[in-house]
Amino acid sequence: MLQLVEQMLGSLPDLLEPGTLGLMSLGVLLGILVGAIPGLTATLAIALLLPFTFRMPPVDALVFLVSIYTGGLYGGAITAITIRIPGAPSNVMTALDGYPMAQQGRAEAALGLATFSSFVGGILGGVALMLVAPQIAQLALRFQSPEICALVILALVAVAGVESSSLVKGLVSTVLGLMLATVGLDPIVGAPRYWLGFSELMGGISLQTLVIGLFAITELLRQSGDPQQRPAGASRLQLRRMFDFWPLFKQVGLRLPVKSAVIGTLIGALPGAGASMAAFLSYSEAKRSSRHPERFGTGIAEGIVAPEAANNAVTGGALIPMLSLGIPGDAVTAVILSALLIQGIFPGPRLFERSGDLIAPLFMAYFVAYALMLFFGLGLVPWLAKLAVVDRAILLPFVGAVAVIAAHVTQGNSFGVWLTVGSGAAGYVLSRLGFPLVPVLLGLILGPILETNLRRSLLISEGSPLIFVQRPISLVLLVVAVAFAVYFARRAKAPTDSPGWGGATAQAGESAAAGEGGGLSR
Amino acid sequence: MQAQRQLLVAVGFLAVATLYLLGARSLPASPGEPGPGFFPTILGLALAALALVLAWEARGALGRAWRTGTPAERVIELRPVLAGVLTGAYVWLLYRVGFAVSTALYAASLAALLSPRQPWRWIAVAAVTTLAIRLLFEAALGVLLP
Repeated sequence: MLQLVEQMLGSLPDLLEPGTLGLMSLGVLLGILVGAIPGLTATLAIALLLPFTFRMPPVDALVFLVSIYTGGLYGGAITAITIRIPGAPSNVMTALDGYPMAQQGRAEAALGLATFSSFVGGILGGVALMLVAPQIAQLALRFQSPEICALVILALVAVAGVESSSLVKGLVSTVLGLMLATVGLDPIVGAPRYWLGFSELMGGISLQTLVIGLFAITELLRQSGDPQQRPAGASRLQLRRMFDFWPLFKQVGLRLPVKSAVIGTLIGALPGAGASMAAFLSYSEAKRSSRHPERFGTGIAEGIVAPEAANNAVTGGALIPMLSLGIPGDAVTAVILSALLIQGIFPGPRLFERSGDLIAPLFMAYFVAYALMLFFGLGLVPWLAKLAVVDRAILLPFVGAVAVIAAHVTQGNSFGVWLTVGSGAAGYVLSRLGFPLVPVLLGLILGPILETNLRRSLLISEGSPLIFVQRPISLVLLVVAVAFAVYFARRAKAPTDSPGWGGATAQAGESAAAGEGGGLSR
Repeated sequence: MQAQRQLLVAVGFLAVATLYLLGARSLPASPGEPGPGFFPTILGLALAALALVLAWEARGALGRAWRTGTPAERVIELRPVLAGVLTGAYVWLLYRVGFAVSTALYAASLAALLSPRQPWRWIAVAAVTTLAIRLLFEAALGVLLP
């Protein structure tokens, strides 16, 4: 650990060089802006900006994407507070107290609270990342094919259950993703499969195709079908009042943000769970443990601090399984994982051995990105709030054109572009029918790992499936997967990715924005 | 309608699973290990089973649908389809008439679809979008656009 801290401090001068710092600043600003615009998410921003990272060195690419991530999770709080339209589902709970506080003439204090709480949550999530990820990677080095197989199955079941109100639909999406992963050459003997006569498919379906298709084109189609509510207009914010939050934060104390950050980190580390769940649980817990729960929803500081600290702590938590196991913790880390794979970096237990020179700068960049988020959040929010209220008729043509051109740049041929647009259309149909899209992407990413390790396990056991239950770790993981499946199958919950955020806010007993949003979670 | 739609979807997935399984059967065997067809067979059977579960869940009364929607709702329902058609047309034109013309036409038509009463906006969106993307990709990335 001391060695890691030394390496991190050693990488700081490089990160503070004008070029890298400028790149991180751009990433944070873009993340905040995209996160603030209702319906757009950090996932979409990263999907569209992926081609820009291809020519960057791996560290710069990682640092840029993580900066967008940190800004994106915070940005949604801006419109949640100013116009009661959350920029992302993870900021729905922030609107419950943030908007009333703004209506009381204390918008700057509300925004300041959101910014500082996001900073505290993000930093604590980063500390957890530093402490836990290397240990999990060390443990995972002992995993062999049966354990890896069982872990992937657990992750896929968890994502399928969390991402949808129907476990069956979640599993269908997962299986579709796994089926897409079988297109191309078999990973063990190299036999061509499901290429349908198109030579372009011999190499399989690329991650970029699905990332841009499912997270940009699908979103374009969804947004074009949502009736846009004209926001009332952000109130005039004054920069000199941005530090009005400080007395309120001192009154709240550190206990609540720390507790919320712990919730956020733990939730973020669970595959499939994400910032919206973390924010909801943290708000609920804050209300439950408060001496005055009846004041929640009237514009109190605790109602902003709890969800914002939690949803930003998810950043660190979600990176834990992604870096140490190669299993994404949420949609954004799934897209970041695809970016790493494109760069030739393979997250997982061996990452810390083989690419150790990336880890320290990445961890340090994480903290620098949060410092930048705090700076820009407190300094630029009055102007960012105005930019966030942009008409869909201006935004969507830009998003659509960038998505198509990005597909052209990443694929290099018209077949790839058509495949991207086609996957976007299919993604739209699936999402309208209530099938989640994140499991499809995870199926594509984890499919080759699952198949390779499944076949190796059966080779080792000479065809006996009992190998998965004879090994203790594998058995435990499979039992947990079954337990998750039973739990999700029996639990009835409101949809998390249906158009609009009525489901999540209905749980809190209040409707934050009718007919708005519908963006993929996070 | 939702139940009927889910039933149709289930039948669709069952068909996909069947075709996928037929494809798996045609894959060669591999001595000593499960072979390239093993995993696809598992997936095909899993999809078929899940489709049957969906079909079972869909049994029930049919709901309301398109026929009972208001005209405004129907227009909004059509927009994603039109946006999809416009995006497909954009891709088709991109490799025939080049980036500038195709992007300008696409941006203008999508803006028109979303903001039908403001023609000045269509032109502004077309111009700004085309210029911004050219700057982003050619200047920033050094990529030559079609």
